[in-house]
Amino acid sequence: MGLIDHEEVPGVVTVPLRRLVNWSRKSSLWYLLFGIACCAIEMMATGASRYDFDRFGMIFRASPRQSDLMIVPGTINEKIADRVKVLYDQMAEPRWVIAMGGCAINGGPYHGEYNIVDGVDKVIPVDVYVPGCPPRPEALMHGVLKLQEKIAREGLKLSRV
Amino acid sequence: MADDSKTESPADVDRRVGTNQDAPAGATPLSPLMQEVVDGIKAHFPELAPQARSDGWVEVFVDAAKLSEVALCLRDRLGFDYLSMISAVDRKDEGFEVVYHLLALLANKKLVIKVRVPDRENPTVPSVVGVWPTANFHEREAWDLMGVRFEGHPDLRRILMREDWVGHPLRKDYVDDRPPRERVTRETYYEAHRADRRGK
Repeated sequence: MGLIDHEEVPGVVTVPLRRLVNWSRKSSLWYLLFGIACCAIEMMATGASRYDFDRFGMIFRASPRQSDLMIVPGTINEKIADRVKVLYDQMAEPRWVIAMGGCAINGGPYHGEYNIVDGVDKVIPVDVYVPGCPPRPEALMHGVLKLQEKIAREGLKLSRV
Repeated sequence: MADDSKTESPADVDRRVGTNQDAPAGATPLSPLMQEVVDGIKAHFPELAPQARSDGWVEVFVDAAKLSEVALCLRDRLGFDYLSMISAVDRKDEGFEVVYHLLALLANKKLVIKVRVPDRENPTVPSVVGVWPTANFHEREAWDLMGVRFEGHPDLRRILMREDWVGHPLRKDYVDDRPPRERVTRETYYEAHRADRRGK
């Protein structure tokens, strides 16, 4: 099922609503300007001109109210874990989370240490995990593309289960 | 590794390079700057015994009771205007040790002060915030991670751990007894959220 261009009626196309909604959501993922540790540098590099996020329609927004995506780059310790949850709670649906780097996946090099939460998925639900320490910009972009594929598969009902 | 005459045992390396800890007096030759530091301290505090370390630092043990006086004199009369770092060492049965790294920036002098705190239950050391304001954060860190109290600190609270944390993680006898956290999925997250709202 794709775009159906009606030749008889010029300028009219029909497309399943689910595809249209998912396409618009995945093509305009505004991510939260939220960097925690070293992976944030790679996230900034990916957003900068050489590896450009803007060509995917992704721009950073400082406010969680205006963002769809939270990339969590960096080590989650007990102190920041509370704040991450607060920010996630403030994001409006539909919202997605990418866990970037070893620390956000399972604590990474600091697994089991004092003051470390082993992975951001102990605090908020995660959609895509991007391994690396830090992941290269190409790896983060690959993660974003995977997230886009995941969004394309979503149903039309509210993403809240 | 094939030729034994060329490899050094760790003891030989120690002898050649020198170690930091407890060198016998006079073991390390002093550079003129280090000699200046030693002379300055001996002139003002004849009861202290500064030692030269092989890495270029002069090290002196100071009693906690005399620390404030020594600190003021070091800053005002001997020119040690830069407190580089305060750290604490857990010496198990011997209590704690608080280490101050001081620099006289323009005169290029370096000094390490060590304060032994034998009391393990309630380790207390006078604060040097009044002498070097940078000590504020360093002492907060030593309190947070080691549990050493600094008397006279204006705002001694945790700096790295969460405010409601119990325990001092960098102590040798610290045990991390946090309960394991469950992985959160969308289902469980919204279930918890709904349970929260139902509770209200």
